[in-house]
Amino acid sequence: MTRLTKDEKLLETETPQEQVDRMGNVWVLPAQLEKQLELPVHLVIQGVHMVHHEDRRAEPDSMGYETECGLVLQDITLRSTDDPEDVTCQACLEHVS
Amino acid sequence: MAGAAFAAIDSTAGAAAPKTQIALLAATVRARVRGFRVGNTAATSAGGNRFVLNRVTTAGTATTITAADTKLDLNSPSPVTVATSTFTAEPTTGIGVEDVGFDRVGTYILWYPPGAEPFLVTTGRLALQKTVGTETDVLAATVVWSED
Repeated sequence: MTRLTKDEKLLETETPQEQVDRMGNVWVLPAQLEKQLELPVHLVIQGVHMVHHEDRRAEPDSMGYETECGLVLQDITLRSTDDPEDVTCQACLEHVS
Repeated sequence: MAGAAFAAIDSTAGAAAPKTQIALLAATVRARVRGFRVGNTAATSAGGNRFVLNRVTTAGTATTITAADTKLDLNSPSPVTVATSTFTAEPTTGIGVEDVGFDRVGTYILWYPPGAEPFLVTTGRLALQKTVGTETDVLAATVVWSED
């Protein structure tokens, strides 16, 4: 019987967000790439819209771009777009509708 | 953060050209691109590849990389520049600042001479893109930048 690797076991239990929180945009197994692509696609607010984020106050010159649903791009690995047709995040869609 | 250097990696192209590999989005600080590396993870026969650095004008659809994950020095502050990878929709082409062709068997490495690096300023974007290459192999790439 073939023994599963730790990564293969995690494929069965982790959510897409848990996976990218652990290993970022990196993937080793093709199934990890597929799982990364299952993340919801957020809409980045257009134009110059940078926000100071509470968690980043220790870095006074750090600013970030924000999604329509309020996530700061630099703080989390996520799928994002500036094309409204590609958006799958329900909170982003509700925010712009 | 001034003085610190960062690297964004991606090994997800896996598609014929045109295909964006990695892109950077500036924010409030100047990002100085130090260089990039790109190589095919599967090719065993010769074939043409062309890669460009392009000042794309839209973001496309991609995975945004957590800023802290791009630190080369884990004790440095996180970058302000946003790095993206794993594109499923292409950005809009803008002005090109680098254009190289090479055989897909092997790895292409470019380091800019100090003082001659391309910069990203204000809210500009810069993308490393494959513009010639019919293979659908996975390509591995790294873009290195620093923030002044």
